[in-house]
Amino acid sequence: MDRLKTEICGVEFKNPIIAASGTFGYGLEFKRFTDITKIGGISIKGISLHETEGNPMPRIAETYSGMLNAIGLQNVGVEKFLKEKIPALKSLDTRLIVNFWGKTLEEYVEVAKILDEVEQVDMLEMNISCPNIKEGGISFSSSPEAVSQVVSVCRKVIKNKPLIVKLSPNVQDIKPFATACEESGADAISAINTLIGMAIDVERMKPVLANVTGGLSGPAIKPIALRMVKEVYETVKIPVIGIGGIGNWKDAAEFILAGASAIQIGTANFVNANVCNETASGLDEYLERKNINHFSEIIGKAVR
Amino acid sequence: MKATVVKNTRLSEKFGYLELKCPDIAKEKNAGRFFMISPHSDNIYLTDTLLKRPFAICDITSSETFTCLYMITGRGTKVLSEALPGNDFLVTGPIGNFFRFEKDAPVALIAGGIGLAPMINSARKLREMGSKVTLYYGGRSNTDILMYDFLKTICDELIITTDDGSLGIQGNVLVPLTENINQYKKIYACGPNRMLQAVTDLCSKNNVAIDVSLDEQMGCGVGACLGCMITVNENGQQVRRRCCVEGPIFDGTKVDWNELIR
Repeated sequence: MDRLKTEICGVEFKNPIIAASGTFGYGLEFKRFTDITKIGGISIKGISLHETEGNPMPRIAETYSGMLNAIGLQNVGVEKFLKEKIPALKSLDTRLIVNFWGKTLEEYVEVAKILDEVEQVDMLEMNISCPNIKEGGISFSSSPEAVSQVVSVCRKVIKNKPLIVKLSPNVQDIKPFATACEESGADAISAINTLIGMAIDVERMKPVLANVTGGLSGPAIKPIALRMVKEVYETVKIPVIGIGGIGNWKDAAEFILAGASAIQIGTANFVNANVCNETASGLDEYLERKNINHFSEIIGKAVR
Repeated sequence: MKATVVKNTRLSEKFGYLELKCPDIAKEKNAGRFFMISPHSDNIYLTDTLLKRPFAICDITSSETFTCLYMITGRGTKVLSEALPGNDFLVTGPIGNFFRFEKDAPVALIAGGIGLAPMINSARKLREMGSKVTLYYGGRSNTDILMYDFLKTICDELIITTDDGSLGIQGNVLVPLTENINQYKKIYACGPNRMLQAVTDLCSKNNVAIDVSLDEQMGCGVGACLGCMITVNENGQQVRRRCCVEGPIFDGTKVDWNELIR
């Protein structure tokens, strides 16, 4: 599939399809159900300096064409991640992106420093957009200035890996945030994270989620994500990785046409464990049918 | 992975079961495991009811087919209840841990409502091992008691309870179980959380071991999303375990029931 082979920030990918952080665990959970080696890359569940327990239950709720989650960035912490999870990923012939976050600027810097030295890691994805815990990054998404600050300090310590910054859609205008990332040294932008929403159990007359609100994902958010990817694409020169409700090749093609240089698939992995591979082959067939030699020819084509 | 509907049998207004063809799931040898099924037929990416739902592997009917008991509670189960032979559904499985039965140990299976589902396969397994099969099965009324005649053929002892007394003993499964609890070395139970908690209490008081099969809202069913955590006590510490891959079967005495009963 040469039509799909690509390079993002100097890292070669078999195809531009990446499994999104938080939906693909530590990389091996789906091994029984799909051929992970055919996926372009995987973004590992957000890693923090210390092990994090996450939010109380219930943490997820299905909504129309989507789901809400308030997992609360539960993760094993960077130390255990390196000791217990990374060795098993060695044999996986796919690109490894590690999503990371911190409760403070210092924690962001510490975890970034550690991950930057890990040989198996191809790229880092900074999460400043989890809506589910107060200190979990979202506060760093409150203004373009706050984004500049956290991106700059991490950029200084990340010396070996390209840095992707994952943006929040829960802002009035995403464009200044994208600019802040680019100017502070981000190598790429991934957008979007989940939108804040809620659901109520009418029998219990209480919110479904223990956290009251959660992040909405799935097909329901696709039109919003697509619009925001277009806006980011038009604002910055660095590559944009499109995320938000992608569930098949057609959705992926829409994001590429809106300006995405790669795409991430999240919630749809839960619906169809093989969706990343089906999306890649569907995209390839689409390009062949359209007589397009390489998908990069159509990046942003619909909005140019 | 696809499963094809062979037959859809309605048992009552609320309950029914699908016979599905899917050799990868039908080859499962252990009882108590489950699978996830997407409630959109023919693999069309309908997104209204987005997530897969967990269902117990109810009965293995051939080397290629198995059944899945459903109770219509929402939009997803309504779609499944209308499935026609030949419809394909996306499935993932088999998933989770399973009941570990010991040969000839005096045990009882306890089912409440739709919690019957994993017990059919369990009863088969016990019989295959040559052990006596005792099933306590409770429901609100006689219309909730499914496949009575069939259950009699796979159990040595079938004890039915209904809240309104319309079939079997009046009351819940605790009524007959309290009298007989000392006969058993271990209990295997599936049903509403309140029932499971009460059965666990009874077992604890009588030093009888208990394994419960839990149901929790699941996202992925493969251990990736961390949406279905169950809090359990391990070596004096409260820890969270994924219901889908570290469960669905847990030692009832270790489960934090307060978190589960909402």
